[in-house]
Amino acid sequence: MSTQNVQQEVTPKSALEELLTLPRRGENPYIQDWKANGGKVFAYVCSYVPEEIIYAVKGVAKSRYLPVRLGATGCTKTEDADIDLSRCLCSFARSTLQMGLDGEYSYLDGLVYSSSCEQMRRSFEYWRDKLHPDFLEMISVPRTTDTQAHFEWYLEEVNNVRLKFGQKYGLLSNKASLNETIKIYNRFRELMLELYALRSGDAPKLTGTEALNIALAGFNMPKDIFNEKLEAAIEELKARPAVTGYRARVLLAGSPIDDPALVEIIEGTGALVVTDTLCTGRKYVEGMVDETTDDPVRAIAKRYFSKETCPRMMDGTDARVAYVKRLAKEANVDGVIFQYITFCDNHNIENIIESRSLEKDGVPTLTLEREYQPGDVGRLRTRVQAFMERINK
Amino acid sequence: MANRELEKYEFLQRLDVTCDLFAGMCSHGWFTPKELFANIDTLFDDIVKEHGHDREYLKSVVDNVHPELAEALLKPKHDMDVVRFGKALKGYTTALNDHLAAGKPVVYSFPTLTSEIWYAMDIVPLHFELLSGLLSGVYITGVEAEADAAAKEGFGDHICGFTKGPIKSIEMGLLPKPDILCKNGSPCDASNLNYVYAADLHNCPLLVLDSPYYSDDRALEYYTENIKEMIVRVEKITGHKMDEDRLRHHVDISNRQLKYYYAIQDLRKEKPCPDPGTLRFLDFGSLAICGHSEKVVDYCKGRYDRVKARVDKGETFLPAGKKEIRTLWSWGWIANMFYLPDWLEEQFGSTYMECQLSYMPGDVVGYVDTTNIETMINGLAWRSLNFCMHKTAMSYSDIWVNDFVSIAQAYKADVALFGGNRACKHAWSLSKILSDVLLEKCDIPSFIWEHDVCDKRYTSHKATKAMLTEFFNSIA
Repeated sequence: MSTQNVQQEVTPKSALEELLTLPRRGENPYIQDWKANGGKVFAYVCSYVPEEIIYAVKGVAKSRYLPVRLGATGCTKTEDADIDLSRCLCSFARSTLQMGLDGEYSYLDGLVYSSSCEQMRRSFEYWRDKLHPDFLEMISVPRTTDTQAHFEWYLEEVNNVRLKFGQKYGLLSNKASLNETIKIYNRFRELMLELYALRSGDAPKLTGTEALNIALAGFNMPKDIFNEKLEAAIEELKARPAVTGYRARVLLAGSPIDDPALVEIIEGTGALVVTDTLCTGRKYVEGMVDETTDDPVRAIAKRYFSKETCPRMMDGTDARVAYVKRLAKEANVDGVIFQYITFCDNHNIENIIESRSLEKDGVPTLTLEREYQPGDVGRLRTRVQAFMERINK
Repeated sequence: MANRELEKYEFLQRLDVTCDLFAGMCSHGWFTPKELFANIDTLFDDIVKEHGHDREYLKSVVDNVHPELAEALLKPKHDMDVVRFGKALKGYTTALNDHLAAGKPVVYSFPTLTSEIWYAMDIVPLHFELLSGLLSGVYITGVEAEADAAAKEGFGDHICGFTKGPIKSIEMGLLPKPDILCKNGSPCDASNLNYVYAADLHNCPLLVLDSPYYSDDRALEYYTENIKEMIVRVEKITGHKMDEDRLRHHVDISNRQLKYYYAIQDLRKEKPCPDPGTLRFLDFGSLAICGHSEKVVDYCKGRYDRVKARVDKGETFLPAGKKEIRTLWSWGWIANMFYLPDWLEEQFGSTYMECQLSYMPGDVVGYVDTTNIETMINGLAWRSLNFCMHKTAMSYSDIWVNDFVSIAQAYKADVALFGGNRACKHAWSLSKILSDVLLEKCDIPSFIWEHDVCDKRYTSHKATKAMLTEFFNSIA
């Protein structure tokens, strides 16, 4: 019997399945839908760009502005980016530029940069001069969160970018839209923390790979829709049996990870990544915006400025060490795996500081140097396996 | 009188000896290493008698000096400048010795904020990354052992040599433990992390002067506030108070010093260039001790007088018959190979225009108004924002590119050398833009190569010379 004429019934994906398998970037149906409805999409390069100021802009009719995190999952080579940015810059910066040069971000209407680190901030000029996005702005983020003056500078920078949207497109967020957006984003953070609780409890309900895929979905969808999906996904997770058969519980720290391949490598050895301190993970969702204040822009800036800091900040080392220790203890980990993308000075040295402190407390640590592209699988796997043996798991 | 306190820390002891070697070896009229070593005992006798160094230690230090650097510095085109620099730096090391001996606070400060503010608070700061550079350039062993110790700890190859050199030096007892660290947010992550690491390890305050991404009035106001806050905190932590008259005294010195600095920059536009390039690292050293003493002014004035005299007499220091190739150093001098500009002058007639590690545009930076404390701090903030490396690193690539196009045009450069420190990410990210623009707008080719600024093992001197020989022969 020919199968060609058989009508296949398509079973709609569950919320969890959808989030776990959502395509990235331009193939993402939510982004496609957003654009089809007249919305604009703006990428941000790091978690010091307050998404709420973008999402709160409401265009005419259904047009809205969607912030998405710039990522380069799937980038396998950086030949063109290497010519400009040079090989001694981190492969994440080169990969995002390569994706841009390859047209993978053709759906973007613009980008909002921050002066995050050497590598990313220097790719700004190439976006400006080679890719000519319609909208391209930079937030000068202080190197310290130490004083009120530093916060006021950051606030002014954030507000300047917010106003630039208005100047460019004639649309500005107002108090009402900002407050509404704050509520959406706070709810998003609450739900993600609930997801973390499901990961890090005694009976984890999902793997680190799954958690990262869900997080990546969240980077690329309207947050209110994501919230609905995540609520449903959380119920599915609660109902499923716990993850079993793993050898050790680990915390993953270091450079941002937006490609599940590395987590898959780690979990392929029998480790289970039950929590993390990544800026694409836990740090991204830690800390709420104050909903009671009369100045929502200030409240938003305050949250982003005061959240768990990135090691590009020259202060906050003690707090970052305390944070990784707290999360390691809460999740009852057997060890901590630090990783950094080659040429990332910030995480290279931060990892040394944090791991030294953890080892002093008797928490075993492993440090991996890697490229952004998931190559070199054998070496990484061997290192993780050796670590597992070291911690007797 | 011996600087005994410095002898507790080998890096400082060696720095102190370096001053005396510079001043001593170049002031006797010995113009070649052969003459120097024929009279080495005389040199040792003089130095031991005047400065009290241990003779065996002195000998071990001399044995470790890069012979090519010694040869270069002894040349008449350099010698008296080296003497004056040695004396100026000795003034600093002696002040540092007395400071440490008196139990005053140990402060490490990044030199892009010149040190007048510290001197005015009766503090003599240390600049450990510059020290790392100086030791790499003068001594064969440089800071390689320290860099290896850092690598063993897990610090990547991609961490700048200016950072890797000092990052373990305090732990290794080569430098004193800090009481305060002070750093601006520029030029780069690695330089910041040196201070972050030290603050964490030694549990001491790190005061951050945030480098804004712009150079406008708003940025200046913000940065000035950072400096004022820093002063308040230093006063609180150390009990050392800002003294307006002392600040004025040191700012007055630095203003006079910079008058000559800017004037020499202008004279480099003459053809042939009247200023030998190997002295550029000493010039940067004079900025590190900016405003310290009249000896620094003497150094800068002496430099200016010699350069001006060449212009007035129509003289050149290039070998007879060598056609000048006016060379823009679009990254900067290489710490582990200070003598390279001299070698290029002798071999190819390549004269050193400007570089990112020493260029300070006088028309932009100007002088600090000494009217009152407010004007002085404001002026020092402006100078810092426009300090070499700070200005070009902390913002959009356009600043570096535009500055160097302007320099290439104003100085009528023929070629550009981008000898990039392998770890200098903010520089490498624009190396292609810069070289393309220099070719397009100034019709000058660039030679781009990679080295480790403090570690000669990465790109050997031999390899560097071979590459540059090929380049200069290809454009001949």
